[in-house]
Amino acid sequence: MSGPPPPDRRLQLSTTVNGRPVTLHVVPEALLLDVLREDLGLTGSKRSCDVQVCGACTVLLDGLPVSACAVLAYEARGRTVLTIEGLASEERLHPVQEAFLAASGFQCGFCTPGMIMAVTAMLEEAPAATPAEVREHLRGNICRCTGYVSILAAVAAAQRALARAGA
Amino acid sequence: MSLRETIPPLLVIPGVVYAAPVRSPYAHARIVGIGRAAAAAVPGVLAVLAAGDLGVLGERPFGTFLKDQRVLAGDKARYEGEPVAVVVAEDRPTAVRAARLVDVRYEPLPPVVDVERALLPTAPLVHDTPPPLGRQGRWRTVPATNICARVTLEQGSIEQGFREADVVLERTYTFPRVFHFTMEPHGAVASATPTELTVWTNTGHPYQLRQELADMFELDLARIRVVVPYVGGSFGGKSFPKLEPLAAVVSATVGRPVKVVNGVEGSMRTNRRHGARVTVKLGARRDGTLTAKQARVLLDGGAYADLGPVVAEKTGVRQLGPYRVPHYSIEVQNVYTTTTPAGAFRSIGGPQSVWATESIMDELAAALDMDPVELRLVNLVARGETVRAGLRPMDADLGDDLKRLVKAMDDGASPEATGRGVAVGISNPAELPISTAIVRLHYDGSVTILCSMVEVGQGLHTVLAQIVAEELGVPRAAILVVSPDTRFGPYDWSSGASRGVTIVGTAVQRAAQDIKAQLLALAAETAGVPAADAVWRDGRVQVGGRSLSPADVVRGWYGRPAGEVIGRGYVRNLGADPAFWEIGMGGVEIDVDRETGVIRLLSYTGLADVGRAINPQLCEQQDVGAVVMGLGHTLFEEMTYSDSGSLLSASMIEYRVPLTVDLPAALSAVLVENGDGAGPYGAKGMGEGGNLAVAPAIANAVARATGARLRDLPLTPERVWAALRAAGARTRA
Repeated sequence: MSGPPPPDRRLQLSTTVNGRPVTLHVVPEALLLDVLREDLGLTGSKRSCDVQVCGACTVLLDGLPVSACAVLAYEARGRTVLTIEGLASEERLHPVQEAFLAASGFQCGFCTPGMIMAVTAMLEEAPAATPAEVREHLRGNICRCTGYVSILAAVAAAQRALARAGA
Repeated sequence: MSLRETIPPLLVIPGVVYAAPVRSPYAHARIVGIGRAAAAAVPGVLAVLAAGDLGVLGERPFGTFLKDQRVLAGDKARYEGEPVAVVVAEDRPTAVRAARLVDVRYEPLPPVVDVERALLPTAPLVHDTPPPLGRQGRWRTVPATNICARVTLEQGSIEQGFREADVVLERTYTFPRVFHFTMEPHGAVASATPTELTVWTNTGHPYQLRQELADMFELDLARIRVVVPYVGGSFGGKSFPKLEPLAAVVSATVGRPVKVVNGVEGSMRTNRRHGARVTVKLGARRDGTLTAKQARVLLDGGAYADLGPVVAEKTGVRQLGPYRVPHYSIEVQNVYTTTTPAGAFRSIGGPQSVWATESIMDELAAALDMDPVELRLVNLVARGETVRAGLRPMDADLGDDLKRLVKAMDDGASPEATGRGVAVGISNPAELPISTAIVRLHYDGSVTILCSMVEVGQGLHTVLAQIVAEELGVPRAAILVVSPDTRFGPYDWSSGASRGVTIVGTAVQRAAQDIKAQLLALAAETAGVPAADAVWRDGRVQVGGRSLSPADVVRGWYGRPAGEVIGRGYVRNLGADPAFWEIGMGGVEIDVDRETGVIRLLSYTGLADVGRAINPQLCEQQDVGAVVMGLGHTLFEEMTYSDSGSLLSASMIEYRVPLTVDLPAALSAVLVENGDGAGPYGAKGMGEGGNLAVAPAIANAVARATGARLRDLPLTPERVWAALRAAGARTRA
């Protein structure tokens, strides 16, 4: 381990995470998930399948759900990232979070942050999604514990709550 | 449970370094040399270690039942993906990158991928010498073969039984090798000093792991600390030692805390469920009465024993099914192959056995021209009847349960269904009901429960808090359940086998009752009256005309706001083995697309006989979750290996688990509560049983709908389509 230090390959990345401007230096191949978890300590987004299949790392990039395990951190430059840690307001949980708690839409909880982010994005886009549309939308979020039934019940409850709030 | 409680603290260990395993690309190969130079030259790499670099710790085998595994393969690799070296670096990306530069030279050996071929006299041996028994081991390997464990069960004379039969069927059913896919992969951090070892890990078995590490490191149990946070699913895949011995040995070698984490692809090379090949012969009289059963089961155990010998034993009992069989002969062999080691997975040997026992019951019903439900009702063991000599007599009303299942199916019947199938599963879980609990009543009235069963999402901690709230009259919000830490917490056998509520729940209940008894004595002493004058009523102590809360009693006895009362609960057995029979039934309605072979699930009804549902919502969720997990091995999941032993379905792109879109149109669980369990308030365990009935119920429905009988899982569209063609050809002929 001698010789000159390697050239600094890192890029400057300025982005907004959970409403706060962030500037840090990342290697070009750094994944958004690693930067969130390792550099920013935001461990709510989970690493599981590594191949954009399971949805455990779902975060919102400019409001759209993405798998943070398959997005380069540098792609987030100048954009906004929302993770599960940024979903609740100071005073209260987001209605989707409240619905998951009330319906017990989780068991081990490992898929829950990604699931909640995916549901939040879906309900922004399609608040009145039918049960079949909800199932189709959530096919990219795997849960191994619940058999999904309580999760789908939580989604229906969240739809009702958001409709009431909007009415 | 508040949201904050569900978020485990971020584990930050000062000075931690990362170890990345170098995995064998061959299923079976002699290791002839390790080139370390290129990896060692990468800046940030601290060490490149092979088995020979680990001293005596690299030579000591581990294994709870057979000590046949080492932290790194030494002389040869026994499956594709087995760790043969590790690179230790200051950060994980560096370790992973450098691991690719380790130049391991192999001399490939012939692989052993198929269980039948593994038993041929010419088969290469996966283990050249018989491994020693582990701490809990009872079954030895059969020397000079690949038989890891061989278990037989006999009763009566099958020759006589088959002579008495009017109909005899013999069929072979196969069950695939499948992967747990816990969303959270395996991970461990270890910190070893010459006198103490601490491991933070997502294991399901902190105390079994403690023993293995104590043996390897020759340390007293008191000097081994295993800390387990909330765990992201286990299903058995995190039972017994996994990555922890490697992390601990590397830490001892490099003198730093060491973190090892799997990706999912690493976890796929760590553990899986036993594949099974079951040949069963069943005899019955014309009226449906069973006369004899013979079964020969080959379990594909992979490269190391893990729990395999126990899986073989349980499989033997589970092959009997819930039926009265006067004459039987069962042989189960757990076979070493050069594939991913197989271990515990949600009812060990259960789904594999019920797949065979409940498929052949429907084949027999068809041969006898009987209704499949009627055939089962004729043969189900009654309450109090023997399933297997020496085991607890049946503690449930199976016939009533089956009728309730059929009634629930009738009530929700789908007009689109063209086939319906049912299956009845029982299992003998909760072996070795050893558990201890500590409950601490603080002087402000709040309570800490220390128990050592891991919360993996099954909801046990919630139920334990309910039990203590019930016993002590303390509000749920005032009770905290602490995750296992072997330095402070009490002993528990394991987190598995549906044992939590019945066994750990009983330990916690006894600890709470111990507190109650102590409170009465302390209150009487404080009041200066005889102990018998203090009585417990509605969560309060009545003494000397006063009514005291538990906290009043604590403060009163210590004379100030200080101190606590510690309750202890021990469980060493709950009567006969098993502590209860786990009952999992299922019924399904389907339609089959004859053009594509796709099975459409219209309804699935599960039934769990739980004794008492202390938390009905959690019980229903356990059953539904187990059913959906069972859809995986039924419809799509299979770890496929090439002839050379390479795992082909090696990522979650190739390996398909159930998704939201795979759910039956209707999915529900029936809970039966007769208050007849050995656990608190008459509860029995559950959570594994929902897995049992899924595959045979669906295959039975396909057979009823189409006449096509499928005997190999998973029931992929290709297989269903081919079976439909074959059945059509038979009908035309």
